[in-house]
Amino acid sequence: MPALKPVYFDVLYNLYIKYHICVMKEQNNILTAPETMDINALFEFYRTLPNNESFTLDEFYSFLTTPSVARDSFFLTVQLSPIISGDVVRQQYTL
Amino acid sequence: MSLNATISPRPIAFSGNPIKISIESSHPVTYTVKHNNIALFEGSIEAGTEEVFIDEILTGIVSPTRFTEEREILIPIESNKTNFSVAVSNENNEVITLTNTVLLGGISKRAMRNLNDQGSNIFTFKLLNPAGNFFMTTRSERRIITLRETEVYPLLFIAPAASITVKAAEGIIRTFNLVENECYALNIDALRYSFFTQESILSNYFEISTDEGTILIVIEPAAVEKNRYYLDFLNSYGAYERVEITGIPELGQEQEEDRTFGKYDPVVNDYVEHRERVSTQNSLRVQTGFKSENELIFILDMLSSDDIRLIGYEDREIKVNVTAESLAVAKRLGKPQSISLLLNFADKETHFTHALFGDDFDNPRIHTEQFSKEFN
Repeated sequence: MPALKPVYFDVLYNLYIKYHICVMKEQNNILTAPETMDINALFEFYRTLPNNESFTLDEFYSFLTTPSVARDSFFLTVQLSPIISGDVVRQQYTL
Repeated sequence: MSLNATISPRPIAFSGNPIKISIESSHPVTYTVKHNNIALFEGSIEAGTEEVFIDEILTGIVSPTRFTEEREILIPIESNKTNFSVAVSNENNEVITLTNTVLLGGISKRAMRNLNDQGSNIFTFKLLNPAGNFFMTTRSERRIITLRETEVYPLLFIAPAASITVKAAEGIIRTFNLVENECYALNIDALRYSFFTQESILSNYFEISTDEGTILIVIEPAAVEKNRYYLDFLNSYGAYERVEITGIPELGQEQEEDRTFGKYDPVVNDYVEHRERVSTQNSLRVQTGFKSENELIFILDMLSSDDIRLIGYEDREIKVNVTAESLAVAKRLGKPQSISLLLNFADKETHFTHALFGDDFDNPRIHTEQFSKEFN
C-alpha cells in the first residue's frame, strides 16, 4: 500500500479538528470566522501557491475575510489550532 | 411661583417613545419647541396642570446615518442625535426654558413599562451604561454580539465613558478616546483591517472594555453561497444593520388592472381600444437561509423596520417593504431555520430601463470595421 503524502495527514487532521468544532457548535458554542496570529507567514505561503505570486496584502485580506471555496481549500492546507475562550471557539490557523 | 415645567425623560429621549412636558401654571401658558433657535411648534394650554407630548414634533430633526466605504475606526455621528429646547411662558410673564436631547429610535412598550416599573429607562439601563452592552444593535442585548462575516457593518453607540479599549488578542490592545454622551459608530471592518496591517493578525474576536465592563464582538463564518443579497434596515434604535439573504430569489410582478378606453378613429368612424401604460410592482420571494434563534429575533426587528434596502440584486440599492410568509418560527425548536420573505419593491413602475452602468457611458468606444477591440 503506498504511503500517504504528509499533506493528506494535514487535511485529515484539519477535518478531525473541524468535526470537534462542529460538535462544540452544536453545544451552542460560538465559532469565529478564520483567524491567524501571523499574517506574514501565511501570506508568504499563500504567494508560493500557483498563480498567487502577484497578490498584494490588501487582496489577501479580502480573500481571508470573504467566504469562498478557494478560501476553504486554502485553510485545509494549513494547520488549524482552535483556541477556546469561554463560550467562543477561535478558529486560528498557523503554518 | 405660579409656573413650573419639567421634561421627561431627561437628559436624553428617543424620538419614537413619549417625550412629555408637564406644565403647572396659575395662568394660561404658551410653549414653543425650538431646534437651532428655529421654532418647530408653538402651542398653548389653559391654566392648571397639563401634560403635552412632543415626540412626534421632534421626529423630523433627527435622521439615520448610512455608511458605504468608510475607513475610519470610530466615525462621529451627528444626524442621529440633536439638542432641542422648549420655551414655556405664561401670561404672568414668567418664562422657563427646558433643554433636552433627542435620539432617533425607540424601544418596545413592554420594555419601556418594565424599565419604568424599576424606576429606570433605556439610557441609564443600557445605552449610557458602561457596564453593559451599550451598542445600538438589536442583534443581542447580552454581552456577546455575534455577526456573520458577510454582515459586518458599523455599530452605533453613545459614548458611555471617556475611553474604550479594544483587545484583539493577548497583548494586542488599543485605546480610543471619546467625548462622553456623543454618538459614534464603531467600524468593525476598519478595526479588523487596522489590526491586520499594523499588528499582522487577523482577528474576528474583539473585547470592547470600559472601566466597568466588557462586551465581546464575535464575527462568525458565513457559508459559501451562490446567491447572496443583503438587506440594510433601520433597527429600533435608529441604526442601520445588515442581514444577509442567501436563498434563490423568485421575481414576481403584480400588474394593475388594464385601464382601457375607446379612441375615436374618423377613418373607420368607430372607436378603437387603447390603453395606458400598465403600472407594475416587482417583488422578490426569498428564503433567509438557515438562521439561528438569535438571528431570527433580529429578522423580526427587520420586519418591523420602516426603511429597508435590498443590496446586491441590481447595481443600485432598491427600497423594499418586507413581510414574512409565516412567522411560525417555533422558538423552542432551538435549531437553525429558514423563513420565507416577500420583498415588495417600493416603486411601482410604468417604464422600464436596464441597469445603467457608469462604465458604459463614461468611455466612448468607436464601433466601426476600421477599429479593432484592441484599439478600443
